[in-house]
Amino acid sequence: MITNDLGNLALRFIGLIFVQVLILNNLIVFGQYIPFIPVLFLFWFPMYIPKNIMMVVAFFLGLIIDIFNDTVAFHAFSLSTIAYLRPSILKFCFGNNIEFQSNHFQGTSRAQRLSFLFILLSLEAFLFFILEIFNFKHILLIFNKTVLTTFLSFGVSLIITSIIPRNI
Amino acid sequence: MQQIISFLFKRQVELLYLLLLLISLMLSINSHSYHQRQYLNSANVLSSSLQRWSNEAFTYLDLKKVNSTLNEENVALKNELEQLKSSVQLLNRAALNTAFGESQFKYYSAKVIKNSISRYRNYLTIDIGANDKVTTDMGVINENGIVGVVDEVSAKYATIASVAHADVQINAKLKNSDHFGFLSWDRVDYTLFNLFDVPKNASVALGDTIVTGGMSNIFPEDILIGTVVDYSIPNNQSFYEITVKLNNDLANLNYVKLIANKNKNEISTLQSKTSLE
Repeated sequence: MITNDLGNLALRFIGLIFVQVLILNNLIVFGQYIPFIPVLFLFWFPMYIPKNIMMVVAFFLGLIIDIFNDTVAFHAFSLSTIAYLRPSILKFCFGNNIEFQSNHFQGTSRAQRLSFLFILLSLEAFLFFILEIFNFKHILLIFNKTVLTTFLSFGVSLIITSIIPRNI
Repeated sequence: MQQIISFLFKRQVELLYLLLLLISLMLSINSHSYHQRQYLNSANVLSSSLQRWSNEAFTYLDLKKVNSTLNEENVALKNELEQLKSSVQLLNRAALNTAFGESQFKYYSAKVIKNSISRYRNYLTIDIGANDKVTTDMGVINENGIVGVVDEVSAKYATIASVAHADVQINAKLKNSDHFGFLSWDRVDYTLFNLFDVPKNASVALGDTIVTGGMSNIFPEDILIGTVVDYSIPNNQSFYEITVKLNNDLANLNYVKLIANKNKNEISTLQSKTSLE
């Protein structure tokens, strides 16, 4: 069961890189917004794997996408930060009992899962643009890009999560 | 000692996060002075071969359009050739025995294998590199005007900082009056650029053509940039603020030309000597 899970996870790791680099990077909306979906990896990541392993894996997922995108380490920064914050976000979205469950999607409502996904996506976009633009004179530009990118990524993620079964 | 170890053990998640945070911030902040991106760019082997492969698949679909632009360029070049021929004849007739020296600029052709327009600092990757005599700071153009400046070079590939890059500035001038200024991207729309430092006494009109100024020793003079779509003089200022619409379509780049300036080193050495004194 667990080896099956890990194989599944490795496939998703590689799949997300390919989808982001080969497809989504060419999907440019209004000439400047690209959906980011690598954070879906943290949406699916199983509960029983220790947090430090999750952070390292998320960091490398971000770094690989960064190398393909010429974005130095912006995705690595945002993904490892989200991995660090994930337990708090899980508690916020699913309630305190989530800590004692082995599968964080068991017995949760669709609204809870979607809000979890939305928070992950908006955090990723926000952290990414803060580091990319790195200039608080352009704070409005950061917000503008964050909001539109989040909605775009949310749409794409809904399609992807409906194709791929969520229970790892 | 035991306490320190147990503390480290208890806080391992936080410490690991701090370590990862430090690594990513160090890499990113170094990159903001944009010549320092040494290792993590798409000019490396793994990334560029994947991009190349995907690009080859996609360019196949564009062949028809490429053909027509090549044709257009061919016609334009032929016209130019004819004009030159006739002027050479005129010169010969006047018995002016002008010896044409070797030209100052040399052009290399390259194919774009990766392009971005949606970011704050946009880069392109091309399929020639140091093996083909590409060096940093070469100008990049195509048949529609300027594209960018070479940033990093590896053996077989090179990355280009696009004109739509928050830190790139290009010397530009008004074609009809030769007043010059600096062109930089407006940071939102990849077709709109700002031209600064054009003095108030220049005459500017909507639709005026903007070309490269030839003062930067990266681009030759008179390469097309775009047209004026808006201009104003802010209160109490002696310079225009001009908005320029780029003639080139940065979202649709396939083949580009790199420009090597043979006298660049000589010019920059001379200039640095002059500013020292």
